[in-house]
Amino acid sequence: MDIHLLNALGITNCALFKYTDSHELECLTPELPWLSHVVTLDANNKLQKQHIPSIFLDDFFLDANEVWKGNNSFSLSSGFWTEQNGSHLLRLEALAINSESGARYLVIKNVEEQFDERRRTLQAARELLLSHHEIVGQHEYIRHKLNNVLRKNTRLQKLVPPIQQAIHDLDTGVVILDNEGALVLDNKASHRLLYCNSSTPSSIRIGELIKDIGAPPTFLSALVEKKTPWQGELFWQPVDEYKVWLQVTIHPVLQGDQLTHWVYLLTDITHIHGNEESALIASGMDSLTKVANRNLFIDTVKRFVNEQSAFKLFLIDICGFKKINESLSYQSGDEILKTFALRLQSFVGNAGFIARIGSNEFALVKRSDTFKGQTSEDYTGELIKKLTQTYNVLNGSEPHLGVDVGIADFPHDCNSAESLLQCADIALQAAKYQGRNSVLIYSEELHKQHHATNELERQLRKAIEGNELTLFLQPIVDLATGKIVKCEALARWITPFGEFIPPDVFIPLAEKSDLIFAFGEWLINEACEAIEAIKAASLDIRLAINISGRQVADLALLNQIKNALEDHKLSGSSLSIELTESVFVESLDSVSILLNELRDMGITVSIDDFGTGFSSLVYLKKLPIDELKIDRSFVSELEDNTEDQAIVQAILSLAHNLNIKIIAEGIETEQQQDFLKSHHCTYGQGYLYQRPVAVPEFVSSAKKLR
Amino acid sequence: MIQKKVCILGPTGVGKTSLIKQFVEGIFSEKYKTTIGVKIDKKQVNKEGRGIQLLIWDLEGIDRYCGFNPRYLRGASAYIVVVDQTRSQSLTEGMEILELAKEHYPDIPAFFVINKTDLPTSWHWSEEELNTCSQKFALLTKTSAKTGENVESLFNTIAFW
Repeated sequence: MDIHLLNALGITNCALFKYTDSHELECLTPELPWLSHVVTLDANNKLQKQHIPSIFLDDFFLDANEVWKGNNSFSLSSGFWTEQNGSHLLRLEALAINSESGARYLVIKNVEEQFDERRRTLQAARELLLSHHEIVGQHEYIRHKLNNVLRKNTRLQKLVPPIQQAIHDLDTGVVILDNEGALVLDNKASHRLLYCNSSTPSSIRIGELIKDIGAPPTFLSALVEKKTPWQGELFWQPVDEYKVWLQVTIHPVLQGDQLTHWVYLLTDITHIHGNEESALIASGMDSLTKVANRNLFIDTVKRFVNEQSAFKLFLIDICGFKKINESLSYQSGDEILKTFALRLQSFVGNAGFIARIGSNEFALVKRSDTFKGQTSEDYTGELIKKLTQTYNVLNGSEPHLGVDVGIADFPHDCNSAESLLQCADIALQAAKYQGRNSVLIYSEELHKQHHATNELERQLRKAIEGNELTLFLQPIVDLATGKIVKCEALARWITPFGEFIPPDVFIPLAEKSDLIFAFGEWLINEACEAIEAIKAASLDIRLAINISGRQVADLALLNQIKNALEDHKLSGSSLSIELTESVFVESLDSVSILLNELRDMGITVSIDDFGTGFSSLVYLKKLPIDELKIDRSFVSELEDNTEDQAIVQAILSLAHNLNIKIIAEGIETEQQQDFLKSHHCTYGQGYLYQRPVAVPEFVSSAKKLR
Repeated sequence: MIQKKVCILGPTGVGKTSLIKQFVEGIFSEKYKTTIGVKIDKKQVNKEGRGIQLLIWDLEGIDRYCGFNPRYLRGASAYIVVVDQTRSQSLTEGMEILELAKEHYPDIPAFFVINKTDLPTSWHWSEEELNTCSQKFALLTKTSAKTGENVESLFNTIAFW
């Protein structure tokens, strides 16, 4: 639509200039009444570059000329500025545009409405910010004053009247308790804020407040020990009809190392919280962490792209955050997110722009010239160190977080905001695949790998749904008798094109995606069918399946096993499960519950790959474990490697004392078998006995051995 | 006449616009009105028969809602970092802003202004800490945009620095 018509209709209010081949700016909208206050036009409506009334616009031309000289399609904004026109103020924004067709323009927009809207939003937001600063400042002031008075070694009777007078009319609630928690003094405001009445004085309410917010029993003693006050914002609802956001300061008064008093300061900040939330959202901020939200972040990336300065985009994902929310409570999860954002902000400072762009995903853009000679890997290494330091949450837990980071570079990787975000996301997905605290920088190679992984994942999904996987079994023999007592179920995948995909490729792939659950269900059912086949051949062989950490965390696993056993009319004693040590690191409690339930069903439990993980002995004592499987890496060089011999002997001796049986994996030679037998290893598994084979083949060879 | 560009930087609500209003128009308003974007004011200052026109760039407060834009400092003869002596947070933020400005323009002289001296000091910074901060600047001036204390002399000093 014609710009004159748009202006006439009041849809736009902007001046348009075409950049000509002779490097002049021809005004297409010379009739705009305010234009003469900003630019000067000659008789041919050409802009007089030597006489620009607006100092700001004159300065902007330095950047605009660079845009018009270039060949890339983009636009550069000047940002809002104000031009004084007598007593009237013009609110303006200029854009230097290089269009895709190669045409170049200057647009000067009259942005009065957007300006007023932005001012309204930010006025409210900044007033709240300042009033919150003021409250925190007041608390600091009162705290210092009271601390100075209370720590004097003066008799209480002398101290009380002057303090009472000083705090009586304060809007800030003040409660002073002695070192035993008995009330010394309080004021009217504290009664109101703590919802006190004749039967519940402020000292009781303070105790309830501390309890209601879930502070651990050591919370107060830790403040005394550290000689430090605690300040924070708390939401409190002691009764149905009263709820309040409080700014709280808890200050231990000490004479030397001796606690003498507690000072509690309270201010109602409900109005700040309510209004701040709407102001934050309106201005593109995340209401929980108070950093930018996704929309504002994307706008900022676009601005960086338009400015054409080199920068890096980081996507930061907190690993396993769902589990933190579930195990520690959502309130603790929120606390961690706030602290995480604060740490990220303080690390980056004003030299970058951060945002929360997903529930547990943050992002950062940082100009390349602000790295001060550091590589982005070194910078990220330091960042991860800061972000993964222990978090202290109010309920007393000290969770350790892991993060993964994907990095993309502008303009090296791509030239638009959207594609740059995609590049960083590809790097992040690949980093997540590598495990906790991985950092990956986007590259073409990474892109290809990502594409290949996605394709393989798609094929695996199809293979599980289409029952293209096959169950193989490998025997586990009693080393003393040579009899098969058990077997391990192993999945094999041969694609319709005859390609064999090794399990160490597709099992980790399934674990990284949700496919592990569908795979687990397939495995359990196939295992039950295999047990039926074994039983039908009158063989007494227990079958073991491998369970991953993600399955253990999923409550559905137990029911899947129960249902499958019921459907096939099998008892739990036919089945065994194998877990790796890594499963226990993150969730010892949930594993313990699951294993006890499985044990009750008669299912036995083995620890796979023992010795390769963190090998903590604590869980051996705490968990119901029947067998340990010594990893093949200790067995493969058992004949010659004295260190491996020592490790295997130590594990065997430990297991013997704990009454746990040992299965040695990867036995390939008679010598290995002999060594293990001579050191009383119970069971063995490996190519010496049989490679994994399909179920019918396994059954027929087992029958022969019987 | 010689023109000099001077940029006023600082956190939100420290009184940047009020200092300029006091200097250019001699007026002060108690009402806080947040600045959006940039506004440029001009004022001529004279000394011993020499006149200099100051082009004073009033920049939006730097906070979580508005980042630092180094482009605005281009061609400046000086810049001022303003903090508020009733808010300790403003000093911390002010020093961060100085670091950013120095990163991009290490050679432009930076002036340190502690504003609101008409109000009682209510920050916990000691004189020693303030001295350490002020050593990073060309000059420290304590001002009150309300009473006009040291405002004129601040801009006069910068004009003839």
